[in-house]
Amino acid sequence: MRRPEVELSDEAASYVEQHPDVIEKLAAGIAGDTSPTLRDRVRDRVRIRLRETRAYAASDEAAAADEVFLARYGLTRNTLA
Amino acid sequence: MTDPGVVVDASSLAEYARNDLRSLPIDELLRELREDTGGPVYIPLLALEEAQQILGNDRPALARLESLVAAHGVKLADAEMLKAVELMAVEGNVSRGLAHAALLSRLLGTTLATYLAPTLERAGFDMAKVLDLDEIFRGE
Repeated sequence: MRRPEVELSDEAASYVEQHPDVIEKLAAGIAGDTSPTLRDRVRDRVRIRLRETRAYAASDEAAAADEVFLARYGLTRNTLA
Repeated sequence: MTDPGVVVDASSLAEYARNDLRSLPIDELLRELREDTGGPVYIPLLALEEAQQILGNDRPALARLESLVAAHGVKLADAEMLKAVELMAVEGNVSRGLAHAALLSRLLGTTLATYLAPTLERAGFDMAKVLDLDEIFRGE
């Protein structure tokens, strides 16, 4: 990571050295953009979690749980959503 | 497998609309659906109304939200759904917008994307179908 072009106190410089992830996120937020690496990591995680939830949602177990949940509120899968 | 799509709640909509760092997971989710799976994005009306309230007078955010709605449409709530929403809101101690999103996701068999996963968990919702957007940032 590029060192900031400002003079930091020892304490601040130490924090920057020890928490590059926090600095990266702060910089991304301030710039209104995000580094490709952060975006890539988020993309991968979203993709993985979406696949997991989608696979579960397609299962018989999920369908049965859905029916039970919906019945609590007077709905069924046949209800026009 | 056809992608059944994703339901988004008010927290997802508001964060998306603000277009900052916390919009990133939603941006990537929408990109995944648009470019890869082709799955639909469902915006529940009551969640949309809550998101608009959250955003207040943030005009750029409201405009971004409006564009999303124009692209995907809104799922209305009929009398039966409204009754179910009221019940769940009271029983689960959740907002009406979150209840609408949760019930809709179960009816459609879709993933529910939210920043309010702990609230849903406390309401007894099946978390295996929830895309916890805060979780995406854990470990960063």
